[in-house]
Amino acid sequence: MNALIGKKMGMTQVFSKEGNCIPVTVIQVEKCVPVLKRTQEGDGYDAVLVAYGTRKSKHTNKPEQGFYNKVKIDPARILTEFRDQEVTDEELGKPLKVDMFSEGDHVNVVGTSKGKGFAGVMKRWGMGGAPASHGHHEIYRGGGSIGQHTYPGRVFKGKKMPGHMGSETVFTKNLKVVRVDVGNNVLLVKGAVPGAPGGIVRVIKS
Amino acid sequence: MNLIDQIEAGELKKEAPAVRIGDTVRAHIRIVEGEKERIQVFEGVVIRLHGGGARETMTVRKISFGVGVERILPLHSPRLEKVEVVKRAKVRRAKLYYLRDLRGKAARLKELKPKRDATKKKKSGKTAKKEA
Repeated sequence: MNALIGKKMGMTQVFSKEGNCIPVTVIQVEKCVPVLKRTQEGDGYDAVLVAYGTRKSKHTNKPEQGFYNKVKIDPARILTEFRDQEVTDEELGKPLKVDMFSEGDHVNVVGTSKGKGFAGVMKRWGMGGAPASHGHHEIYRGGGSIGQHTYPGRVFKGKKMPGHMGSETVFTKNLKVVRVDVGNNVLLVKGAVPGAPGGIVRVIKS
Repeated sequence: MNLIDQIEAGELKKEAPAVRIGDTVRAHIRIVEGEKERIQVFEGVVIRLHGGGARETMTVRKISFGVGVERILPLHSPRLEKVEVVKRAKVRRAKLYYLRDLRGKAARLKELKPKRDATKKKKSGKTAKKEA
């Protein structure tokens, strides 16, 4: 396994051996257990099903409970697959540890970004808005024209317009692992990862 | 203690430099040039303390060849070898940004003498005499 699920705890800074100050995100891995293997023969693709966190059994339906019963663990909050990962039969049901990564490794971190609500074009797409003076009125944060005239007579699909922003899956590539704390099962990666503190993130070796 | 505080506690120096605002300090900064290492001393007035714990920094200002130079130094950085306090000054602000607009004599700070207790005794002596 070269991937796991963790919780973003927040950001801080640490000093490297050379004395450089490095901004880091703290990712804590709580209960994270591989539950099932998907194989090319049986399922048409290779993947590992991983359970993360805890949930009361009264909130777990019976089909899902079956997954946990197979490896004899308590019900989990999240049950998700990692594609193209490998796991041995002995590893199933045993918690994943952060020692699968070492200092200096690069990882991809996937998370859900902070929701921004219904956002205008300046915030959502970085458009320039309109000048504050020289005769402009009531369009200071507008996006300008959205099309032509009789031909084509419609607005093209994919036109950048206001709408919901954030709360989407964001893939951050090649973050350096700065520190691995096996005792606390904590990972420090350089830079920011998507989402608010407390959010669930997927960490995959890149 | 929460996890982030724990991590920051591990970054702290055993003895943080005891710096106060308005101090004139000699900061010994380790500089790495290729493979060589040397210590450079930066002497100036602390005009700002910022942040707390392992993230605490100080801004040191000095006038170098007539040009004002400020360096922001993380107090817990391993590169900050040592900080000597040359003198303390009496200040009435938490941030001494006003020094940036002042030059020469005007930019001096009133030095804080450590013999404060002695002067207090004198005063009390005088009042005692008056009472008598």
